[in-house]
Amino acid sequence: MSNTSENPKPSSSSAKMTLKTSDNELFEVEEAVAMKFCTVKQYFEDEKDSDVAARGSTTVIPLPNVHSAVLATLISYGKKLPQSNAVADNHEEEETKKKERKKYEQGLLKNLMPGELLDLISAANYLDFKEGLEFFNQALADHIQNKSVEYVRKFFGIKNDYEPHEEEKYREEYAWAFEGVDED
Amino acid sequence: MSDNLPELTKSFTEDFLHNEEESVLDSLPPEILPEILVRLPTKAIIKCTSVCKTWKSLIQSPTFISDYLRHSATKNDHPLLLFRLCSENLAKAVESLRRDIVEKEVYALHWDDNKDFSEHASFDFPFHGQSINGVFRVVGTCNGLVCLADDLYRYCYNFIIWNPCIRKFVQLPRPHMRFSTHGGYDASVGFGFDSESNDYKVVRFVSLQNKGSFGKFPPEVEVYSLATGEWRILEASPPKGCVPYRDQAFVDNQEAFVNGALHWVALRRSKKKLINFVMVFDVGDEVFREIALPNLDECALSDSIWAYGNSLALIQHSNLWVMKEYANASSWTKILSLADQGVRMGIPRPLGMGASKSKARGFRKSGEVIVEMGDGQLISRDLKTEEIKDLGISGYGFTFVGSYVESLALLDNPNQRAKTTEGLAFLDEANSAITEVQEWDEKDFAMELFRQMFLMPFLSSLTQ
Repeated sequence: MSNTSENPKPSSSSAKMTLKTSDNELFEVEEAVAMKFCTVKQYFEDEKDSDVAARGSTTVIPLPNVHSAVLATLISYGKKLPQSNAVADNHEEEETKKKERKKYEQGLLKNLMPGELLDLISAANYLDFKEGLEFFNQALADHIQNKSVEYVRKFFGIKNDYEPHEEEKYREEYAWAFEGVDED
Repeated sequence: MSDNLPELTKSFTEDFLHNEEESVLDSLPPEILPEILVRLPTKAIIKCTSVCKTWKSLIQSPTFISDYLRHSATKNDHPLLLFRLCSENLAKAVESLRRDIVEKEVYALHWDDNKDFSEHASFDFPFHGQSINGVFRVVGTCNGLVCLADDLYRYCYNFIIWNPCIRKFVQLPRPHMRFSTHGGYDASVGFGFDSESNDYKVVRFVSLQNKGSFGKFPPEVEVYSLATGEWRILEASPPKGCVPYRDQAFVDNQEAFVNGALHWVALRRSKKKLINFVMVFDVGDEVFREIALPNLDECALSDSIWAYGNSLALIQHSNLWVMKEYANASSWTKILSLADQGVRMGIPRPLGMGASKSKARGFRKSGEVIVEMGDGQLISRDLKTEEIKDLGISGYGFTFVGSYVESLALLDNPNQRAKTTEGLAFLDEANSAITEVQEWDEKDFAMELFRQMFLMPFLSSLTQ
């Protein structure tokens, strides 16, 4: 599965880079998007310094910690972000783009299983993809915010190390915090 | 952002976790968990402390509490305002020195947003019925903490630092300077944060009456530190001047905490004239400075000082001034006259007589001034366009408005009440009767009468 963009932007000047995932998939990505992954940016800049490859296309950057499904989502998200090399929009265009992005974000989250969030966050952390981290961290926080303590433990695979009487005391003291919890 | 994820069913989680080769938590780098937790609302954070002991010690660590505050404070797209409102009945009861313990003071957080000024949360007031004066005075807010003082009219030493979001509080021990130890006095209180030592402090400026002439001597200062849990009398001497306590009948606001320092309007007697200036107390260094006020012929006792962005605003004789460059007295600029267009500011009103004058109550993040109209309606007014917006809330006196950020401050403190043997007055809520009073006695009452009947009218006569 290689990356194809539905509406290729007429920016013929943007170079492409190839990223290789842990399951040996190759992704061709526009440089502007790939540079949002600071780990990739760093790798690319190191490569340039060591004078090994010409720009972009012949270099394959290995990402041994990232699975293809996860990378696909991160790239997809990265493309929707305001590009640093784009021409500045006027206020109206900016607002429209913002709305489009919100709609895209909502759609993205709808199709995502909560468990995949942790993979996305791990990968975004490894790639040092700040906007992705911000977005997916917030999405996960929003998801667990009203969930029960048992749900949260299951989700993160955490063992409860409180004594029953400790936990009882705690729940009594902070009863108000445990109200209004979603059904698991 | 609302949760848009499909629901995770129990069987799915079992499958999901069963299929993982290693525990999810093992594969999650440790720096990630705080980044997720820091984005949770305070109620959810409290819940998360009971997930496991590791999470609890992470959340209660000073580092996480600071990070949480920083994240909360930089969410600039959704600033919050804290309102303390009193109903008409409650306000009237308090003004006539009658304790009405049926109605509660209301503490509510509103979004400071023109598209949506709705209520974000309201807090159950845990100290209802404990005020000798009827309502607490809100000294100020800082980093999600609210400082309350029960010193509206009577000599009383009930100070509380409260985090309403996580329902934690600390009740301060009695200060050193009290009526029974030092005689009659006038005191102003401030609440601030020392970022160097990560400590919250309450500062009291006390002008002792037995020191003689008003404004001729420097006030005594004592400081409470949350870290030590104690009051301490300050050695350093403030500049000459008196910081008179003036209740809401005379002045709209007491103190402003800006740039790590507390600011009060102080009076000084100089060559038979009374002049105003800003007394500045750096909460970290505990040193004093002064800032001059715009030069006027008469000293206005109704001057009030406000935090305004990174600087100060002043309301004097219905005029709003802003110090464009903090600490540079020559940058005081008159912005707006609040006297015109029917919006008139704090004119001292005779005690016990209701006067329907509108009063400034605070500022929005955007700089608009919030005004309480004579009929209780709260509005905000743009300083440039002078456009007025109805905020849809009402306050009838003793209204407090301040910018607010949610925080976990006090999370690592157990709820503390001062020991009752120290003799703080408190009320038996069930019987509505004072069950233990030590400081509040006959002498106090006589002193209070003196203040009401002679001292305050004396001060007000100086404005004429």
